[in-house]
This record gives sequence, structure tokens and C-alpha cells, in this order.
Amino acid sequence: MDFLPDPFPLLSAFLQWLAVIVVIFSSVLLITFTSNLVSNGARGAALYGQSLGQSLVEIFSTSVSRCYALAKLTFTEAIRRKALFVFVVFAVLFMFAGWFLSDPDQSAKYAKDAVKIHVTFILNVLTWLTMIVMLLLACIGIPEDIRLRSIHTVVTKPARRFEIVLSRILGYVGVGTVLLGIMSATSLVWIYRQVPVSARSELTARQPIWGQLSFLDRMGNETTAGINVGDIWDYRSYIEGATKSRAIWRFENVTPAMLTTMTDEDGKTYEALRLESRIEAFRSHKGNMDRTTRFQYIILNPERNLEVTAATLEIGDEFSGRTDGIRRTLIAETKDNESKTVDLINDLVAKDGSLTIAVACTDPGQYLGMARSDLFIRLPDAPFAVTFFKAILGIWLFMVLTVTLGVTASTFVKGPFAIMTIFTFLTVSITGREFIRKLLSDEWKGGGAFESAYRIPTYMNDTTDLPSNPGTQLIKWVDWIMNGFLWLIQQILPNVSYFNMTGYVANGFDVDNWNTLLPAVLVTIGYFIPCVLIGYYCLRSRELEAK
Amino acid sequence: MNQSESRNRKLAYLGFIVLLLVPIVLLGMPGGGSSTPPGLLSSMRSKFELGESDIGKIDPTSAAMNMVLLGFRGIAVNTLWSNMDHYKNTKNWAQMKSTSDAIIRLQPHFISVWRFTSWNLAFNVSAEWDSVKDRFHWVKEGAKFLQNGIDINAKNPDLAWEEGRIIGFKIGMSDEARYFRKFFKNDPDTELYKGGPDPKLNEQGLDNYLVARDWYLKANDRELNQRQRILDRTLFRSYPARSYFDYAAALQKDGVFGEQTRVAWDDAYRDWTTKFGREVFYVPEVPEVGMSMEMTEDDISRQAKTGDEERRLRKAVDDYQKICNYRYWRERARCEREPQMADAHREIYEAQVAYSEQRLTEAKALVESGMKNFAAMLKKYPDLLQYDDLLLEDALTAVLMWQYILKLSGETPSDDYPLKVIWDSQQGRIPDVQARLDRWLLEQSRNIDKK
Repeated sequence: MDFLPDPFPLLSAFLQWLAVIVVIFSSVLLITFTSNLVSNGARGAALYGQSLGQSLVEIFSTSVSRCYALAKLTFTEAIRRKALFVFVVFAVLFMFAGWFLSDPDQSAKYAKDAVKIHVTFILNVLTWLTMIVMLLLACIGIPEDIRLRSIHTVVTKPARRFEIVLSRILGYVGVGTVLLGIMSATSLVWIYRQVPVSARSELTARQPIWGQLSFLDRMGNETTAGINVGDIWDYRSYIEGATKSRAIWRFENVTPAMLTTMTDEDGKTYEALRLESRIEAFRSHKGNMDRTTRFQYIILNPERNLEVTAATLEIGDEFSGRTDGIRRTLIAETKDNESKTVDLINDLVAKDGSLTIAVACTDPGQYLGMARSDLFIRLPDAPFAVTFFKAILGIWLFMVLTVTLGVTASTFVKGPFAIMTIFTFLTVSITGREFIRKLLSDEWKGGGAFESAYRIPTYMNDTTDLPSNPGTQLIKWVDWIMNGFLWLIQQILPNVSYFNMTGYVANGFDVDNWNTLLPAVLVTIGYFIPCVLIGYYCLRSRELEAK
Repeated sequence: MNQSESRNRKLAYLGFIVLLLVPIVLLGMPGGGSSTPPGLLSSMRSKFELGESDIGKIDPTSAAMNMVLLGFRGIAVNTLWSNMDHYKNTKNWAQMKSTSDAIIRLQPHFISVWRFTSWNLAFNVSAEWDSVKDRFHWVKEGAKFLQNGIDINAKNPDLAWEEGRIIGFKIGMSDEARYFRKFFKNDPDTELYKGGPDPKLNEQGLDNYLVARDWYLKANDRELNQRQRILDRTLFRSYPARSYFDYAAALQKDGVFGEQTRVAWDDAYRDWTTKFGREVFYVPEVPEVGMSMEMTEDDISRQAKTGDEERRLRKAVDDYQKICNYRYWRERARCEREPQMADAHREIYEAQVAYSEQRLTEAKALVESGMKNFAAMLKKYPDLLQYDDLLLEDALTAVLMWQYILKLSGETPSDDYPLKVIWDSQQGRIPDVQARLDRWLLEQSRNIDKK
């Protein structure tokens, strides 16, 4: 689910980044050194060393004031290039968006869906508008300066080329920040106005505590997953009703601070652990249609051999979820059929601070489907604006990445080519990264491009082995080389999925700081550093007289 | 190339552009004004009814979207279809609905899209939900979605027929029919509809089959001007009358007996035999002569000009009667509209209720009387016995009920009883009928517990 991220492997990601940087820069240094040797002979080595030394001096003597002045110039130039026209497009989109979005359902229950639709629309609009405008600006800036020869007025001053590249990026980022800031603030107001009043409670930022999920089969044995009831989407695993089958969540570090004060039907307050669930039912027979399928929360403490049925409930509104409070004081049945009072925190939380909650289906012949994200401890919510602006920060970081790539590309190719290059690069990153991963990980059968081209006209399905002959060996060999090339591309493409935080906001969750926001920041920095250096070296070696 | 050559070439291009503009303007001159006659394209558009306003209600949103996309509509639609499929598979219903609305805005006159998406909502999405109320909501979504298509494609008969199918077939015959039929008159969203029906689907609070009938009638009206692409024409046009049969049968199933049900069967019979039965069809087997379902031997002889034509016409009438199950429904309605048959149904149903409430003596008397009446009617209409039908299931249910009552009373069933012929000849169907009866009794006992 796009609001439950995988843990971000910080160390391995950093090491991989370092390896790619070292390989790229070593290759570049080696090639340029060799070409210097070839063209200048033995003197080339000395010239190369001198040039490298000058570069390092330029980089390390970067002046903040010069950068500020150049960035300000870039900012002014972008405004003069009518960057603010984006507001016209933005205004038009907002004025007519209501026409194109589905009418919110009149029923209060389904009106909540309007939140998803409107939030998704807004964040997509902001992402694409910002990306396109900033890409155009970033890619044409330097090439236009070179074409009009106005760059001479800059390079003849004591401004260094490293500062030019850096300031261009900062200037455009400044423009993008202003644009995005105004548009996002307007968007937030627009969302509040457009979402039906009955659905405004969904404009929130849930603070979930996720657990680890495991399953027991119908005999009560541990198993890796539940039953597949034939869904194409194998996200959820199902447990069978009225058997020993269970879905078991283990929550770490449960403390009394996680308890919330809740109110029961009689208006009395009580201390409870607030759980939110989205459990899906699959009926193998009609059963009792007057109600939805029933399930139980069972709290387990194997250390003390305690098993407490905390509540028997109906799944209710399965796709919107339900919130329940597990009272701090519970009644446990002992093996001697005696009742005793137990405390949720003191008696049921294990010594290591973990709390184990099992979900069982009580209706015979019916099945309940669950995934890890379908049950969590819900702490008090944060305001919607918090998660919204975190998502905006994601868009901002994506804009920084776009500008960085655009300015870098514009230092070695002309404007239109730079636009096409970076647009393709980003589009492939957005749409093709997963495709390449599946292709390289053998998740998709049928081999590479040439093997597929052989299989299709010969009507050979993807599970049949290729006949062994020199021709098929050649096909496999060519595919192997092409896959190697794809692997290289995969290492260079940014993982832009970190920038897209729409799933969190649309579903009413707070954006995960450590597993989504931090990776987005690191990816941006990870591209910023090498891109600025590449841009600098390209501009340094570029003949500015050439138009 | 000098500057003057370049300028001359550009002027020549401009000249050609202006030259081409003249016929385009003349051909494309809009109609409707009184001062200038319409251009050829405009006249042809009116003649062949190809204009947006000729096809149906104009949707400015759709027109704006198509215009903004220029030539990229195909790409956009493909992407949206792919997204919709993804949302459906990942059970993201809100986005799926929103995406299907966007597709429709791009392809407002692509009939298959309306049919596919409404089916998807009413049948596939609704089945994904656990609560019957939620399922009903999505059935309504499918029906409402289709209503937009009917407005936008005002001449198309297929969509009106599909609407009839969702309201008649889905609401009336699905597993949840007992709830859906009730919800159709009293929507479960009491907050919004105050206990009444959803006015967009059922403004007057009618039975679902009667509303479906209105849609089938609309479909038939449209079909006179535009060819339908769903069923054989005879079958397609039989649906308004068929809805009456479904309505009458549903009343019986709901436990509504007496004059209302008898009248419903009578209406169904008259609609079937005097309207649909008298409708003239020109079928490919005998294209030169009009054929109707109610044609007698005399009619056939009178209509046909040659012996060969008479033979082909006789065969066509027989074949198409079989296609529409015409003779069965005629016979069934004739039988059901008789008071004795209505009594038989009522007595058997009341016996079931009495049994579930443990009033065994009363139940026994009722079921025995019902079986007797049932047997008498089947004797009067023996043709019904040759059809594999629900009516026979009712007869089997009566015998089963009788056996249950006797078993509980500690009595032994006699060897000679009414409906024995049916019981003996339909042994293969008994397990299914028994399962249905047991489920009904279980639900009945739950209702009693609730009370």
C-alpha cells in the first residue's frame, strides 16, 4: 500500500551511491587523462594535473555573495521569461476542475471518496505543472546565454563557472519555490472548499504504529501467508472462519503513552488502545446477510500464557476501515473457566515491550483478508496541513532534482535537446524503473528483447525452455549484454517514487519521515552533488563562442 | 538562396493557404442561420444525424476535454483504461469510478464503454462488498452511470435495454434479491432518502420489474429507429412483456398472493399475447412475409403465397416461439391467472410459514389443500409438465414441505398423494429444491428470533 513504505536501507543505499559516483568519476578522469596524454604527449599529464588543481581551487573558493548575485539574476531572468504564466494555467485548471472530477457521492458514507479524488488531482497537477515549467526554464537558461553571448558579461567578471552552474540551479529553485508555495497554499484552501462537509473529517493525518504480520493456518500452525481466495491482487491473505486460522500482528515498544481516552455508547470515557482496521471479507456462501462478517480481536501474551478476547465485531465498512478501542482493563477467561481482570499494558504487553494481537474470523465458511497495513495502532492525528505540506516538500524536492538535471544537461547540449533528454530521463524514471526491475529480476518470464522476439512468432509460451542450438545461444548472449546495459541504466535512474507522497495524503496518513521523506532528501542530494560537478566540468570545457 | 527568393517562396505558401481556405470555408459553412445557406458538410451532418445534438444531450465538459487533447485522445483513453483496470484490481473504488467518468468524457458515444463500465459497477464491484447495503449502492451506481449514457446517446436502444437488465435482472434475481427489491422501494440510506426510494432510479417507488419494464419499452421505442446489437430482435422486443412475468413471479416469491398477484399474471398474459404476440417481425427465413408469435395455422395459410413459403413460415413461427419460450410463458400465465392456482401458491407459502412457527396442524391442512389445487391445475394445463421450470420446483417444494410436516408430527406419508407424478419424475432436482427450502426456513427462523 502506498502509505506503508518499506524500510529505507540507508547504509546500503549510501554505499551503492558511493560506488556509482566513484565508477563514473574514475571513468571520466581516466578518459580525460588518456585523451590529454594522446593529444599533448608527456606534457599532457602536467597540464591535466594543473587543470584539475585549478578546478579544485574554483570549487573550494566559491563565493556566497557572487552566487547570491547570480542566483538573483537567474530569478529575475526567469520572471522576465514569463514563468509566472504558470499561474494562468493553474487558475484555469482550478476554475474548471470541478467539471472534470466526479461529483461527490451524495451519500455521506461514500462522500469520503471525494478526499482521495481531490487530493490526488491537486498533487498531480502541482507535480506536473512545476516539473514542466521548471524543466523548460532550467534547460534553456545557459544555452540562451551562450546563443545571445550574454554569458560573456558574466564569465568576464570574477565569477567562476562552478558558481554559474550552482547559481543557475539555486536561482531556478528560488523561482520554483515561490511558484510552488503560492500554488500549494491556494490548493489547500481549494481542497477544504471542494470536499463535502460530511467528508472533512477524512482530511487528517493519521499517526500509525505499524506491526509485523504473520499467519496461522486452520490447524493453528505457523504459516507464511493465509489463503488465496482467487483475487488477482495478492496483497491480502485470507484466514478461514471458525477455525484456528489467525492473522497475528506484533507491535513493538507499546507503552501507556499510546493509550487514548475514548467514549463509549453511554457517554462514559475510558482508557483504550485505539486500533484501526480495514478487513476485507470473502463469502464462500451467502451466510447471514443481515450483517457483515464477524471477527475477534484476541490479545496474546505467550510469556504469561494469557489469551484475552478483547472484542467481537463486524467488519462493517470494509474499504473505509473501522476504529475500535481496546480497553485497558479486560476480562480474561482462565483454563478453569474462571474470569479475572487483566491490564492491557501491565499483563498483556510482553517484557520486550511488544503487544501481540490476533484477528480471528468467527463465521464458519467465510474468510477474512488482511495485509500488514490493515491493522495499526492509531495515535492522535496530526492536522491535515502537516501531511499536505510534507507532500509539497516531496514535490519541491522533485523540482530541485528536475532543475539540477536540466541545468546540467544544458551545459553540454542546446536547450531543446536538454529538455528532451531530461524529460525522457524523468519519464523513464517514473514509468520504467519498475519495468526494468521486473525484467532484470526474472520476475517476468520469457527472457529479454531478442528471446521475446523469437518466442512471439513461434508461439512459444514463456515457461517452455528454448531449444538448445547456436541460434538460441546467440539470442541469450545478446540479451545478456542488453540486460547488462539495462542494469547500468537502472543504477543511474533516480527512484522517483520517494517524491510521490500522494498515497499518504489521499488516504489520510501522515507522511513517513524516515522511510519516505528522508530518502527523497537523500536522492535529491545524491543527484545534486555529481550533477553540479558534471555541469561545471562541461561548462568549463565548452567553447562559449560557439552558438 | 537570397532574401528575395525566400520571401517569394513564403508568399507562394501563403497564397496556397488562402486558396485552400476558400473551399474549406464554403464546405464547412455552419447551418442554422437564415442569411446564408449551410455548407455541404453541415447539410450532410444534419441529413445523416451525425451532429452532437442529433445523437443526444450535449456534454460541454466532454467536448472541452476532447478539444483540449487535440489528437491525443486515443493515448489518453488507453492510459485511463489501463489505470481503471489497475484501480479495480487493487480495489480502489473511488479512483476507479472517477477514472471511468473521465473515460466516458472522452468517449461519450462509444456504446461498449457505457455497457462495460455499468456492468462492472453493478455486477463486479458490488460483489466485492460484504454488506448488502454497500452492494446495493454499487448496483445503483451502475444504473445511474448508465442513465447518463442513455441521455447522451438518446437514440441508442442498447443502453436503455441494459438499464432494464440492471434494474430487473440484477436487483430482482441476484443472491441478494430479497434485500435489493426491498431497498429499491425503501433505500437503506435513510439519512438521505428518508426511508423512500432513490428518486434518480425509482421516483414513484414502484417495483423494480415495473421500472425495468419502462426501460425495456424505451429500448423498444428506440429500436424502431436504430438497430440494436444485443439479442435476436424477437427476444429483444419480448422484454417488456417478460418483465411482467418476472414481476408476477416475484410477488409470489415475496409471499404476496391474492388478487394483486392474479392481476399481475393476467396483465402479463395480455401483454404477452396481444402486444408482443401480435407484433410483426420480418425474419431472414421468410423475409417476404411478416410473422407474429400468435399466428395460427389459418393465419399462416392466409399469409403465405406459395406452398414453400407456407412451409418456411410455419417453421419460422415454431422456431421463434421456441427462441422466446413463447408457448411456455403463454401457458404459464394462463394457468397462473386462475384463482385456483393463486390459492395453491398461497396455501403452500402459508404452510411454510406455519411450519416455521411450529403450527403443524394448520401447516398440514394448508399444504395438503395447496397440493390438491396445484395438482388440479397441472391436470388442466398438462403442457406445463413438459417444461423444466420453476413451477415444477414449487410443486416439489410443496411435497417436501408436506413430508417435513408429517415427519415432525410422527406420521407416515401415504403412497398416494397429489403431485406424486411430479415427485417421481423430478428426482434429480430434489436436492437443489431441498437446499433452497432449508435455507428459506433457516432465514425465517432467524427472523422469528429477531422478533
